[in-house]
Amino acid sequence: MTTSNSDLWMFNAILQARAIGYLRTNPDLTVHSTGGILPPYLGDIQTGDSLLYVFPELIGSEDILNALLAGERSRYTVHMINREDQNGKIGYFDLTLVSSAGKQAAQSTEGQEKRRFPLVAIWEDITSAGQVGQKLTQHRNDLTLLRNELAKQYSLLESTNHELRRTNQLKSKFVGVAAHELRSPLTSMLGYMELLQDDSFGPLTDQQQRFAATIDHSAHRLLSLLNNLMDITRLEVDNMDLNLEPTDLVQVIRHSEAEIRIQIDAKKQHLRIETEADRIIVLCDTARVQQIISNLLSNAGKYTPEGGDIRVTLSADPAFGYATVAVQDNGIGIAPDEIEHLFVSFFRASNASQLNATGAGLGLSIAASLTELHGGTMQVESELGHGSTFSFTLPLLDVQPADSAQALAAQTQPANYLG
Amino acid sequence: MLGEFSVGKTSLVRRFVYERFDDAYISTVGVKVSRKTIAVTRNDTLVDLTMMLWDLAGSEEFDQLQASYLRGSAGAILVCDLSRPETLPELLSYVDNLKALGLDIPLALAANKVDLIQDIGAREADVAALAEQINAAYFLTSAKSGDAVEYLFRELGQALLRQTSL
Repeated sequence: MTTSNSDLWMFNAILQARAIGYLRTNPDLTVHSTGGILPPYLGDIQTGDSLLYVFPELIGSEDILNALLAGERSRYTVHMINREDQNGKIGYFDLTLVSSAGKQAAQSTEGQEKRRFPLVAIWEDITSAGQVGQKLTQHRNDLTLLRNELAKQYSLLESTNHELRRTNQLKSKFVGVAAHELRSPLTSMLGYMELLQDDSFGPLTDQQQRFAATIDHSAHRLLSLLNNLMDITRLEVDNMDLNLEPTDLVQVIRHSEAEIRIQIDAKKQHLRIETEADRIIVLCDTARVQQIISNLLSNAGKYTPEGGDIRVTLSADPAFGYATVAVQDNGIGIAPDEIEHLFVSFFRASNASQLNATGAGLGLSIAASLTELHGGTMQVESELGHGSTFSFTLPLLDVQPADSAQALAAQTQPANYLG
Repeated sequence: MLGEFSVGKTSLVRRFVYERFDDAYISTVGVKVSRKTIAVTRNDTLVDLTMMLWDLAGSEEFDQLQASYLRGSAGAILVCDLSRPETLPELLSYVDNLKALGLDIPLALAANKVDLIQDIGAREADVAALAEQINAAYFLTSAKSGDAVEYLFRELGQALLRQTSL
């Protein structure tokens, strides 16, 4: 076979295009000659250099080299060799060794010393592919490091969280015990105060009556606070038992409305109750649901100005199996960034003192927790300066539809409901 | 050089061979070989020892590749990252790989990134225990500051001379 100038031109064009270079060794593995592309990371290859000096990556592969020299193996490739040039720039190449033995090796006769044939070492620059591979590996390793770090942080947070929960439970237990111990003498004080106000120990002067009424009012506020503290601690330590029974939600609303009536009338507010059924039977602890509704109504009354409107709506959805109570007011509303904190114990909105409203920030927290304990959910919608709507759901048992318009949109009066 | 990714294998080699350090972590891919000739003592005389350092990617993908290079190795430096304690026990799997290939070669343990650790006490005890378990000398190294890096490679070089008839 002869090689024309055209073939040679094509051969060189291929070497250039693929960034391929080569060297031919002597049988003793020293460099005989070189050709093609020589990337900077390979340095200067001199005739007479050892192949193992030029490519130290082949050290340790002496058995393979011997097989190639003997013609017992035709080729050997080392993929993705990583080299750094003098400027610290990394290049990658594949190195293939080809034995020049061809068929001559097979012609060796037994007993004769094995011939050693020159090798051709061919390198192909794959820096672009190597860089892509490096980036992929880098990203994967970085991600793994990040994942491990996140796992560590998560574990640390879990541990801290566990400790915080434990501390919180201790706090709740302490508050619960303290509230209970404070309530016992308070109950006794309230009893004697009632006797005093009833003139059981002789008539009181007008001034004494006023003072006694103030003491009685304050003691009841204190009792209410202690009761709330006991409830919140019970809820926090999962120590609240419910006495579930079928209950008419309409009746519960009426009782709650009666309880709150004095507060509503004192501020000349308008309370309206709307129900779409005569009876809405839910499975609940009656006293606790009344507590939920009373808390919502009390809040609505506190944060609605004099003459404002409060509307309670009852609805039932038999298809989905729940009843909904919504308490809507046109009061001061809640800032959007505070809504998510509303059901956190002791949280009070920043505008809570606008209407001189007092409170410890426990009512909504208790109401939401009690709702959840019943398997329901509590939601709030509010617009600052325009009012709020708190609604909650309870598991529905039965509905007796309203058979007349009387159930809808009735302006409530205490006498009507209680009578 | 054996160990999990990002423990500092390449940085240790770079510090030893080129006396350089780069803070940026660049994953090694492929086959990276460096060489350095050091003077070590043998029978009270100084001899030149050329160390060829195979810096193998600390990645699962290269397990097969690692095996082929481990076969030709005369010694191994096992590297862990003191700031990632989990990289220390992982070294046992590399020792197992060497054993599986029938290699009984000198080992040295580099507990790297010591510059990042405030209180080394407890961690050094773990390193010492593992080093004793695999019969290797250990060094608390920092490729960043250069602490103990030269000692690490020289100790392995001396061990190579002791073990072989080079």
